[in-house]
Amino acid sequence: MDLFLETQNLTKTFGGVAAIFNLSFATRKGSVYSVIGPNGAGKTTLFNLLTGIYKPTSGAIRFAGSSIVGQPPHKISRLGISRTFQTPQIFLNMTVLENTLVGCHSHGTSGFFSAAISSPQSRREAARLKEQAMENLRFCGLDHLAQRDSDALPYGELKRLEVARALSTKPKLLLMDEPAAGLNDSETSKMGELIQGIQKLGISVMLVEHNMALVMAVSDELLVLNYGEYLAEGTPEQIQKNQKVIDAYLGMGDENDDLFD
Amino acid sequence: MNRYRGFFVLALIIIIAPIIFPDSYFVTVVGVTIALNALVAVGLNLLMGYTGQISLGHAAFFGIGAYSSGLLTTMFSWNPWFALLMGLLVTWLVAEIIARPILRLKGHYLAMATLGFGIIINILMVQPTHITGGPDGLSDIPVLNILGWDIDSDIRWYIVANGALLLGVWLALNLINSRIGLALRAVHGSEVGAQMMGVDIERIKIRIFVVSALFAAFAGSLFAHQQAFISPDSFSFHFSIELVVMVVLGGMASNYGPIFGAAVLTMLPETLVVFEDYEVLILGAIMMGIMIFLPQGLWVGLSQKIKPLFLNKATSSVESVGG
Ligand SMILES: Nc1ncnc2c1ncn2[C@@H]1O[C@H](COP(=O)(O)OP(=O)(O)OP(=O)(O)O)[C@@H](O)[C@H]1O
Ligand SMILES: [Mg+2]
Repeated sequence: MDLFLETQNLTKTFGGVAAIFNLSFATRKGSVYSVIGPNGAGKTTLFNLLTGIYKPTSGAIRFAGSSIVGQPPHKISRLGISRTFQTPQIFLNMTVLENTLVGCHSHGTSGFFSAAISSPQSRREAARLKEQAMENLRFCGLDHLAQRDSDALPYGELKRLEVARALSTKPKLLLMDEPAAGLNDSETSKMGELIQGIQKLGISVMLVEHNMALVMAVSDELLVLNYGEYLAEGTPEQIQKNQKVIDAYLGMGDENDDLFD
Repeated sequence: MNRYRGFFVLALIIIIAPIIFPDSYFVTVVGVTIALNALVAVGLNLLMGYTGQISLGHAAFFGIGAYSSGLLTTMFSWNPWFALLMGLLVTWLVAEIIARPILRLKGHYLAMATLGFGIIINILMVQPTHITGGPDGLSDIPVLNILGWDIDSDIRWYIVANGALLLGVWLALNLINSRIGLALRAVHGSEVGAQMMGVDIERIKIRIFVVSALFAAFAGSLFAHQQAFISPDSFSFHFSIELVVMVVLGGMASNYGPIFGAAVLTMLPETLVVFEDYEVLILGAIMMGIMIFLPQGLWVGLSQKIKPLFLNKATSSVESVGG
């Protein structure tokens, strides 16, 4: 088994309250691995730990064989983990293409000086990065909107722009935090196809999502969190039959009722 | 190229103005002050407008440039150009040292910290009287000489100051339209988003702070030679605020806004003197009016209003002013 991202006894507390508690799991390279759980279960906190935005209170995180605990987000990004955000973190002061170009940042080298004098090397590099960015926009079906201001984008396109931008970092692992939240049915199915397309590119995906139809359709494996703790892990079929999962979800609000649709 | 269109228009205005109005006090005298202020404002805008980090202490860097040139040329008889270079070096060092702790702060806290820094530097200019001349300042700063030409007349200063401004604008334009510029604007848009895209936000904030400080120091050195006399008054908290006003008033969305802001804010007091006691009052009212009716600043605000008059189709888009 080809372990890719693993955590051991991962714990994160906020003022004494554990948002993630003693969590151990491992994902496989090339898989779509989903994390589900009721609101407040700690899914976003987990992503923030994996990407270095939060430092774990204790525990270990290993990516492709080496520890990434304590690395700042930009280093983790350069190691090959990128993500999209539950609340889009699009640069609303930029166009669609410019947003995606920022994703290419680590694949350029020209610094302040060569940029300020517009050196031939920096111009060549800019052209090369633009190619890459356009390719990712095309992949996400946004190329026709490249010059559009991102603050004028409909929500569905904004969510896909987050994906295009994250892909521009050339990740090995893409963390997606509720990519279908706020999308209508046709946009959601487009997002599902996009996730499968990303997997076909050889990029591993970790998915947090409340839309269970989508999760069950695209996931190879699932992790269920409850109050920050490990509840169950398995294939979609196993999870749907798991009594602990059923019990945990039955007590929850309407939003989570669709687990077994 | 498209990116330089505004630049050529600016260069044209700068060249034509003294040809049409060769004897105008506004062009050849005020024009120098505008150019130097604009140079600082363009640099400050890289930090404020594009990266979203405020500085209420940029007068200090302007002052460090000016005092380096003033002190080294008068007390140690340095060549003005070496003095200018030393001024840039000292500024680099100071900016780098204070940027590290200061730029971790955000919003009001960053404003307060930069304000404090500016005040400290200003006190350092006033206190060691035996070195800096204290409140009386430094005088007899020698003239600048470029390739055998003494820069000793209004029109020569006009050329040098505006040449420096054009150089600064050209550098700023290139920077903003580059990979670095995108990263700077990304920091403004979403820090966590920028980080996840691989941008080392701490480092890039320090870098741009240093760059904007260097713009100010360069202008400060020229200022010292042009005035031949400097005193701490020119580098006080008051001037820091004026610089921020220039940037905000002109508009932060483009490199030209701050130039426009510098021109307006430098000229207005000169024109408003006819109102005598009410001068400051009217200036304040004008500033309030601009911010209420043109919140994006004069540059974007006016070009949005003027553009439809020139284009047959009324396009209110602002795409061509970002740059
Ligand atoms: N920065 C923080 N400070 C304090 N508490 C936090 C912080 N971040 C998260 N929490 C808490 O941790 C718990 C888990 O939150 P988290 O956002 O990870 O949940 P989630 O599973 O993503 O929920 P949702 O499905 O609603 O997005 C919540 O109780 C939340 O209040
Ligand atoms: Mg969440």
